[in-house]
Amino acid sequence: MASYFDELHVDEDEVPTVRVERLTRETFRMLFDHDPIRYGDMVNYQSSPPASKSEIEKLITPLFDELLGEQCRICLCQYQVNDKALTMPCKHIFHEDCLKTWLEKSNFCPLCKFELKTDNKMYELYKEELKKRQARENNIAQLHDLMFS
Amino acid sequence: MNNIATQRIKREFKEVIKSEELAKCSIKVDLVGDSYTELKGEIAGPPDTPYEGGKFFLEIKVPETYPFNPPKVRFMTKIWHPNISSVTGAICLDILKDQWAAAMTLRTVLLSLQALMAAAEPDDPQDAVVAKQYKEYPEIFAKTASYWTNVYAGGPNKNTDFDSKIQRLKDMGIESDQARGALSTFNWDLERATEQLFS
Ligand SMILES: [Zn+2]
Ligand SMILES: [Zn+2]
Repeated sequence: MASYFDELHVDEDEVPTVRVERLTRETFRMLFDHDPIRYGDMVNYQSSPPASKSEIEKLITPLFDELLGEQCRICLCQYQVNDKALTMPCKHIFHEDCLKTWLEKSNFCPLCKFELKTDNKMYELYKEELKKRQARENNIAQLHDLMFS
Repeated sequence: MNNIATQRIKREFKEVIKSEELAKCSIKVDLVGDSYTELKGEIAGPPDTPYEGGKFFLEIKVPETYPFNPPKVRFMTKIWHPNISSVTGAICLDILKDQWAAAMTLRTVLLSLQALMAAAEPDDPQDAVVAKQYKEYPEIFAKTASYWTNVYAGGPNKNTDFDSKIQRLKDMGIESDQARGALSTFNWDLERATEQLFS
């Protein structure tokens, strides 16, 4: 049995959850190399995943001064005294109810698309890999510019 | 019915839709009946495109979950465009699907559709036949789109050559929309269109 695992480079001490994560990542890389756009569609298409509950809990309440004369861009209503509101990390403010309803469905700011973390592992892996690849491509482009300009 | 969706649309009507800015962009939204769940949109074909001079009507259905979900929009006026079905009027546009955001409005949607008419995205087609023609025979595509604009949307550019080909098929008992569709599909090759219609 040992030789079987040896051949497949499987570490028998690897914790199952870690193994699942690693295999997911590897499968994902294969798919990404094969057809990045289609993979992105697969992850994104149904609608983006909801924001993680813990991220929503972390959002802060704005000062009433910040709401004065402003309008919630989800329901298009002006803020009234006693209205509950929340501020996104991008500083955009919405009614608490309006924003929470939206974040239960999608993880990004309705105005600027700033993304909150999600609980969807595949989606987070995809984002991570996409970022790495973009960084790599930028590096290569810069190197190219250095050499040929 | 007095849900969030209705309230939101009412506000849009008050603040956004009736503004002069929309008139300048030649965009309009009207109510259909007195429910706020079904609306009728209107877009003028953008200048310097085959759609110039045409008036295109849209069916807009507002779901109960609006603005958390996008409105359902379809072209009622027939149009020849890679991202719009020439048969059903269904639209392929990201903000009507996964790229919708709750702060978008009907104004955003109509302006995006006008932009789509001005700059098609043939690599993400709704109508594969139109997209193929757009890429392989751009001149035939432009003529066909302009002709459809004339026939269905009141555009100015007549095409007697196309008219006479359609008449030939009508003489054989084919209905004119069907004849126009087949000829457009086969790049106005009368022989191939006939073959397909009678096969
Ligand atoms: Zn609100
Ligand atoms: Zn934002």
